[in-house]
Amino acid sequence: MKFIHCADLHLDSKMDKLPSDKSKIRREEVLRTFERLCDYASEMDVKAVIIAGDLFDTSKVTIKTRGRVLQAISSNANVDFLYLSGNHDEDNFISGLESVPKNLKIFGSDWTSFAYDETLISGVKFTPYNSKTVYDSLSLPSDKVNIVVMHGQIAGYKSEEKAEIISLPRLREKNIDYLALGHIHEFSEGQIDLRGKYAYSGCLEGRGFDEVGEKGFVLIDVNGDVINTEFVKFASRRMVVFDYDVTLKPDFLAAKSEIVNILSNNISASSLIKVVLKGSRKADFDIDINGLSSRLNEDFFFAKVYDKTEVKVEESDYAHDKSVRGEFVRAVWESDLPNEMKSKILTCGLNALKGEDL
Amino acid sequence: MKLIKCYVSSFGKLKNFEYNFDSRLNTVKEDNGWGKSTFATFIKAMFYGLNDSKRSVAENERIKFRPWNSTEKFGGYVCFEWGGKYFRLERFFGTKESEDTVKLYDDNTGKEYNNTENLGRRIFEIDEEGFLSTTYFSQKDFQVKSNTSITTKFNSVCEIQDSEAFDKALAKVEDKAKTYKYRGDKGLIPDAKRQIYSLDEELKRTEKALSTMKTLQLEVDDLSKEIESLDKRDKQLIFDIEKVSRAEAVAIKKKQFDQLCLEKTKLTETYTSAKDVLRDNQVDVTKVYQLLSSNKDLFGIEAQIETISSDLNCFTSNKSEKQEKKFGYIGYVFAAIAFVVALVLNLAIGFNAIVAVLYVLSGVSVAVLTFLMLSKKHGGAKANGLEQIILDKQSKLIDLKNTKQIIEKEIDEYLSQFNLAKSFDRETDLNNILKVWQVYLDVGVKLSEIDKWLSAYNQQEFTEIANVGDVDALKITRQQIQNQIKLKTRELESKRSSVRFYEDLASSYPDLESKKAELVDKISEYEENQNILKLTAEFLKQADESLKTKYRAPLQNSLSKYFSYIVGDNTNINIDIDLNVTVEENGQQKVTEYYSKGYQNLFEICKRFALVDVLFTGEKPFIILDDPFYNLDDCKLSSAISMIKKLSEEYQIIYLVCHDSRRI
Repeated sequence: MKFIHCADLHLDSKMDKLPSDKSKIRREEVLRTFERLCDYASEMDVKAVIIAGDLFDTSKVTIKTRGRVLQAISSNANVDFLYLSGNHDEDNFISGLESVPKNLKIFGSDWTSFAYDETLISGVKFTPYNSKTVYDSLSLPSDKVNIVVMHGQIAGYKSEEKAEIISLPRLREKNIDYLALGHIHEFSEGQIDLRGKYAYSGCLEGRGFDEVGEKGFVLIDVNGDVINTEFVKFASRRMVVFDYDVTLKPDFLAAKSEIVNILSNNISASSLIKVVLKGSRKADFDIDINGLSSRLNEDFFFAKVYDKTEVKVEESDYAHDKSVRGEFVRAVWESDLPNEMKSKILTCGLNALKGEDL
Repeated sequence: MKLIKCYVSSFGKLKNFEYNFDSRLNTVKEDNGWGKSTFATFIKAMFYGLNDSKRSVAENERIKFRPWNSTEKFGGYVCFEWGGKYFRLERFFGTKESEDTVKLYDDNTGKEYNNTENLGRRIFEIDEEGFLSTTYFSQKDFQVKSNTSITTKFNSVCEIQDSEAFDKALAKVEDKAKTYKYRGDKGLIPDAKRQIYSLDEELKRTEKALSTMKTLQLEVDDLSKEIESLDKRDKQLIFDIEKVSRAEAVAIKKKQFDQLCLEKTKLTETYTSAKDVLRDNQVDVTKVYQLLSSNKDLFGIEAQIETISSDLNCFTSNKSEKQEKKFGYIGYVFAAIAFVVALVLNLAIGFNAIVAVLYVLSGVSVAVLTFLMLSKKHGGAKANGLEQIILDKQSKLIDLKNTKQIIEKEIDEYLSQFNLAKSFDRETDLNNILKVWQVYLDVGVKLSEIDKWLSAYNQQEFTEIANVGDVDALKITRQQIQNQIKLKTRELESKRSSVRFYEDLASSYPDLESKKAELVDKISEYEENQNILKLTAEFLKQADESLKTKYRAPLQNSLSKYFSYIVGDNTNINIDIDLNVTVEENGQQKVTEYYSKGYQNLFEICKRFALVDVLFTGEKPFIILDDPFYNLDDCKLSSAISMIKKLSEEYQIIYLVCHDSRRI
């Protein structure tokens, strides 16, 4: 018997750091990926799809998105969708609905269980009132295959957002075979005790450059009392961060050519790429961010270039320069500004003194 | 750089005027109106041309110095030494600049140089304005004006080759910074902020729509629950109404049930009575009918007995032949009647062949006997025929009596097995048995049917209908509930429609948020760029000031030197990098405007000399002084003259003066 564990879809996300036109496309793609997941589950004879929280990004779920989610669920009636709301989700996602699909089942703020033959899937939604009691109130039969669903971060994980802390020690010896977690956007897994393991499925699609790497879901296969899990890549696009050191490059043209070659040969054209230029360069090593960015945007779905290089200024070069240039370089260099800012000011001032475009 | 000679062909008042310069001090003392200023302007014009940008005659040099009523070219030449070489510079002016001619020769070889562009600037490394502000002391205005050219010259002093580039670079940086924000609300940043403001307004509207939508959704939830509750009540009412309606049917059934029960009781009594009569015996109906038939035979037998007895009596009492004949006829008739009666009875009761034959035989036997009796009388009288008849009859009588006894016994024995109250005759009793049996059978069947019917009834229903309400009242309540459901459903539909409307309004929220996020990022990028540009501009200015500061010290020293030459005291005079002069008095810096016109001129003269000192560190230029000391008192004049004499050791001085008191 197969189950899918997914989480953190963040539908209707505003997609920070992307231009609004690309954001719109990505929002549609993330929604489409969820629809593909529903179809996949149906085709693969999956018994239930476990959504371990954060199906939506905010409480502001649009009518279109909600409609398509419900349509995707109801049109795959042979699959159950077990929904646990996360810290981003609207509590009453299904409230006000004229009809809730029969195959959409909700985990409540008390332990809620759904049985599939010898497999029992139990989940609980954290509230301010139950976060301390959920552990004691969890009671699972030892003769069943127990899958438990929760949304929060286990101790040790760092997250920028506030979420409930899940105590793994308190889940030990509870007859858990698989703990399906949501909240962390990267796939990871580990052991709870001798019997069970936990896993974060990660998000289905990367939404920003802080969500790089392969994205997808966990396919759970229960055979008797044996449980096998496999991470399945499912995202339509990949987020890639590429650091490039310009230090030893003769000039920017050579660097640009090398960057384009490396990325074109190794990264899929559908990817979203963030190029970070690093290292040090001479003042006359001019970086054309817009030119490189435009070039990469021709080859990839989206590319953005960041200049984090430092302008290497040899003080001896300007020590006896009785020109404005010399005075300028010395003044900037002797200032208390951060090196990155000094580099930018030097680049800007020296380009201006050379009469070049800024 | 030194002037050697000049020749004025025609320039203002001067015509065919030649002047050979001393390498140090040249004092031209002429009365007012001679053309001293014209001479000074001629020298300037040789190097920089005429300034004809002004319209007024007084300020437009082309008009002012063109010979009166002449359209011919005017000008002359000047011979000078520069960089160890001797040159002759010829310049003639037309009515407009395009008519001007300029020629530069090597004064030794006579070779003409082709490049005569910007000669003044190339020689003095300063433009006309800068020249007028430094080495050319006009009588009218010798206030120093700091300009780009002077700054350039300063930069030149500081070995700077890119001073123009500096101005351009600074302008470029500042212009670029302005593209982000300038004059309050213009530029990319205010534009983006305005867009964000506009987006915020839209977001507020969509948030309001979302908030309204949520409130409506909660109302929809409440309404749904209310309707659900009303539906539940409605269903309960439907059930109750059905129950009440069903109760009515059940009541009818119960009545039927009760009647059946009553009938059952009655029938049971009948059945029990019949059963009691029957004593658990089965009734053999055929047998009964046979007995009934036998019982009927008894009538015939009894009749025969009676007849025979009668005959015997008759015979015995010797009655007449007529009587015998009559008796014979009667016998025939009786036999016939007996036969017919037997036949009718037989048909009436049911055809029984044996009985019928018996009847026929009895009839026939009666007839035969009667015949025989008659025959005996007629023919056997002779042989005691009558007695024989009597004997026969007696025998017959006995037989009949025996037969009767047997039949009666059989019937009585049969009847004795039943608990039947005996009646006056056996036929009735037998018929009663048949009736009881039939009743027993019929009632048994009926009771079994009634039991079947009774078992079909659900007696529990009869208890359930005990406390049902009034169906009409229930129907009225249901109608009210249904009305409420209709109203609430209508309200729900209306609210759902509103929810859809607000949801639609709010559907642009993610797009708006994306656009806003993009703009916020852009503003952040713009502000960072602007900050970088502003800092760059500040550092460029700082660099420029730093350079100027480097020449300010020598400028200050020169100024102090020249001021002390003239004033002779220790007055602290200062000059800043923008060439503003201040005088320290009682610890305070005072601007020169606080001082007399004479002092102000003195400050400017000193500043000029100081500037020339600093600016022309290489080849020293000539200095034209167009009667600059006319408003100095005697004491200061003397000092000034001494200073000029000292200055002429370093610079070639052309000193133009109109009064002997100021003559050097």
